[in-house]
Amino acid sequence: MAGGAIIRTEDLTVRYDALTAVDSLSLEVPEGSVYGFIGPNGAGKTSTIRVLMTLLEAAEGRAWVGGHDVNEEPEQVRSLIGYMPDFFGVYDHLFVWEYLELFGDLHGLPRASARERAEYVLAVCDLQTKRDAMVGGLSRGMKQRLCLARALLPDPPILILDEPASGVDPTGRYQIRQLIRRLGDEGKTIFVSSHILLELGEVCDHVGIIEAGRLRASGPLEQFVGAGEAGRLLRVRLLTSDADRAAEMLRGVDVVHDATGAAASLDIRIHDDDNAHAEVLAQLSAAGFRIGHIAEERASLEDIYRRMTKGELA
Amino acid sequence: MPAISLPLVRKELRQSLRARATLAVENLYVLALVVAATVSVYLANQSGVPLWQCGRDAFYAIAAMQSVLLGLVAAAFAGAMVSGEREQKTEDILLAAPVRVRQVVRSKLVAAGLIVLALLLLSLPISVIFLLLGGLTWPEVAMAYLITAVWLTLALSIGLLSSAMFQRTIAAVPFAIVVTATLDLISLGIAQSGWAPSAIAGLGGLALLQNAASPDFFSLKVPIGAVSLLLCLSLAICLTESALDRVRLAHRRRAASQRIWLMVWLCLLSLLTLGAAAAPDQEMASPPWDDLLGFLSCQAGLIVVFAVVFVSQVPRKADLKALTGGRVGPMDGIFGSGPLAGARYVVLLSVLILVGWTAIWWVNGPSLELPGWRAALGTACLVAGIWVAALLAQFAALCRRVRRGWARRVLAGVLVALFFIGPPALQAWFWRGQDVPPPSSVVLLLTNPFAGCIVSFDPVAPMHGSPFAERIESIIPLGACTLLFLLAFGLCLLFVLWRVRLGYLTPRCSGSAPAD
Repeated sequence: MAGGAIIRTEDLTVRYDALTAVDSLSLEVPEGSVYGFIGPNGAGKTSTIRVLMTLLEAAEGRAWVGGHDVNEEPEQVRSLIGYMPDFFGVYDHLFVWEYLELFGDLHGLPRASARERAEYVLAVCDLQTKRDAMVGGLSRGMKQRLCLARALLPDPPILILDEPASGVDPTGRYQIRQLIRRLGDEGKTIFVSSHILLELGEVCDHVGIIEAGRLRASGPLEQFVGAGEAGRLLRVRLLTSDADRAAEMLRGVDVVHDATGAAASLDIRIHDDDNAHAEVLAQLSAAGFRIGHIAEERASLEDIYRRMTKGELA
Repeated sequence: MPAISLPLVRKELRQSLRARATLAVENLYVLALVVAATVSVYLANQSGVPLWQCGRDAFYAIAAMQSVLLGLVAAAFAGAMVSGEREQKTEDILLAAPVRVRQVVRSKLVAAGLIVLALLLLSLPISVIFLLLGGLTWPEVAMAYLITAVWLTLALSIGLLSSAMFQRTIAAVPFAIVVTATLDLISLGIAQSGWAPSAIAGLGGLALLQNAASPDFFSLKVPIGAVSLLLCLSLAICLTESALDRVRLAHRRRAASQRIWLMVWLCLLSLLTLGAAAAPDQEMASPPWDDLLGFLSCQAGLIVVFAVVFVSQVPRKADLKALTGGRVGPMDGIFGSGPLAGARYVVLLSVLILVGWTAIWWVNGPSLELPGWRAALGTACLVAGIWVAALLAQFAALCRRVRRGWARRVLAGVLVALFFIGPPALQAWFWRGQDVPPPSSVVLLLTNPFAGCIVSFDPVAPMHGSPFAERIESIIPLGACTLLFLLAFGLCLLFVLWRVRLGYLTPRCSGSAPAD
C-alpha cells in the first residue's frame, strides 16, 4: 500500500480478444473513502472490478488490494472485500439463514459470531422478517438486499459494489444510498460503480471517471466541483428589477465564476465554498441590493461527468 | 488449507437433496432395483439351478445394473455442478469468497459422490439377502461394491469435466452421459475380446465387474484388478484436474496443468506395468511386452513423450513473471513456482518409475536373475535423464536470441531430441564396419540415459563383448558411469540456467526483450 491507497492499479489492461476493455488504467482509492467509479455502459467498470476481485486476469499491469497483489495473493485479497456483482444469482433452494451461514463459514467466521453478524446484517438490510424464508421466494429487490447482506456479513474493510441499485425500486435505492453513507461514516472503503450519477453524487467523496477503458479523471469530488465552470449556483431574486447591474458588479468579484441577471432574477456561479457564498451576499448588501429570496444549487456529478467525457465506448 | 470445503459440501447436499429431480431419481432407482432383483431371482429359479447359484447370478446381475444406472446418474449429477453455478450466475459470488477454486470443484465432486454413494448403499439390504442364500462370500460382495464405487468416481469426474467445459447444463449433462455410457460399453468390449492389456477394461464398471468374477483378479502374480482400479482412479484424478483448470484463471492453469500430464503418465505406466507383469504368465497369442527389455523400450518412449510434454509447457516470459512475481529461483518456471517445486516433481517421477520397476522386478526378477540394485540403478538413470531433459527445455525457454515463442519451443524440442538420440547415433557412426564397439562408441553410449538403463540391467550384451566395457564394468558398473555423467551434466546445466535466468528477468538498458 502506498500513500494510504487501499486499492491501487498500475497500467491495468484487460482484453477480450481484439477488444481492449480496460486500457492502462492507473487509479488509487484512498482508505476510508467512498469512491464512485462512474462511466457509461461498456466503459470497463465491471472488467476493472472483476480484476480487483481476482475473477479476471489482466493482460498487462498489476493491481493491489490492501497491499496484496491480486495475482499472487488472491485469497487474501478476497478476504478483505465484500463484493456485490452487477448481475448475480442466489441459491434458491437454501433458506435465508442458511445462505448467510454458508458465506460466514466460507469466510471462516466462528459459528456464534456469524450468527450475530447475520442478525445484524439482516436488520441493516431490512430482511429480519425473511430470515426463515426460502431464498427462491424473495422478490428481486429483496434478493438484491440479501446479496448486500452477504457482502457485509464478514465485516470486510472494503466493499466493492457493482451497480448496487440496478433493478431496485425507489425505496430500495434510497435505502441502499443510506446504507452506503452509513458504512462510509463507519470508516469502510467503498468502491461503488454505477452509471446512475444522481445516486453516486449523494454518497461519494471521491470519483473516478472511466470512458472507453481509459480513466478520464480521478480524485476527491471537491477537486472537480471547484474546478472549471462547475461549483455552486446561487439563484437570487432581488426586490428591485436591476439584476443586470448586480450581475455586472459581481463579475468583478474573485470568488464568482459567472453571473447573469434579468429583471429581478440573478444567477451567480461561485466556488463550492461557504466563504464564497458569504462574500457574494456581503458584496450585494454593500452595493445596496435588497434580496427577497436566495436558493443554492450544487454542481451535480452529472455536470462533472459531462464535462470530463466525450461519449466514447470501449 | 483443506482439500475440500465442508460448508460447500453441505450447501451442495442441501441444494441437490431439496431439488425435485433428486427425489424422482431416488424413487425410480429403488423401484428399478426391486424389480430387477425380483425378476432375476424368478428367472434363475425357473431355469432349475440351485438356490445359492440363483442368489449369486442375481447379485451380479443387480451389481451390473447398478453400475450402469449409477454411472449415468453420477455423470448427470456432476454434469450440472459447475455449469449450474454459471447459469444461476452464482459462480462469481462463490469464487469471490476466500476459498480456492480447487476446494470449490472438489467439494462439488464430494457432494455428488455422497449422493451417489447413498444410492449405491440402498441396494445393500438386497445384497445381504443374496448373501444369505449361500452362493456368495463377504469379500466378493465388498469387492463388487468397491469396484462400483471406483467406477462411479470416474463417472463423476467425467460429469465434472463436462460441466466445466460447457456453459449450459443442457449441453453438459447429455455429453457426460454419452461419454460415460460409451466408455462403459467400449471397455466391456475390450474385456470380452481378451486382448492382452486388458487393464484398459478397468475403465468401465461393467468390465471391472466381469473381471471381478475371475479368481485371479487381485492375485499378486497377475495384478490385473489392482492395476485396473489404479488406472480408473488415475483417470478420474486427471479429469478432475482438467475440470479444475477450466475454472481457474489462466496463469494458474499453466502452472497446474503439469499435474494432469503427470497423472496421464501414471496411467500409461500402470498399463505397461500390467502388460509386462502379465505377459510371461498369460497364454496370449502375441504378448506385446514379453520381457523386461521390451518394457524398457516402451518406457523409453514414454519418457520421450514426457519430455515433449515438458517442452510444451515452456513458459512465456509474461507467464514466468506472473508465476514468480519477478523473484526467480533456479527451478522456477517450467516446474511451477518456488525453489522446491521442481524437486517435488522430480521426486514424484522417481517414485512413479520406481513403482513400475519394482512391480516388474517383483514378478519377473527371479526368473530374469535381475538383482534389485541393478533395477534401482536403471531407474536412477531414467530419472536423471528426465531431469536433464527438463533442464534443457528450460534453457531453450530462456534463450534471448530466439525471440518467438514457437521458435523457443522448437529449439527445446531439438535439444531434448539431440540429448536422447544424438549419442546412440554417433555411437553407431563410430562403430560402423567393426565387430566390437570401439572405446569411443562405448563412452558415447554411456551418455544416454536409456543405454545406461539397459547396461544396468545387462552390462555385457549391449556392448557386444567390448573388452573396454568389460574393463570398466569390473571397476564400476556401467550404469553408474551413465548416472554420474547425467548428474554432472545436469548440475552444469542448472548453474548455467541460474545465470541465464538472472539476466532474463533483469531489464536491459539496450536491446529488446524476446517477443512472446
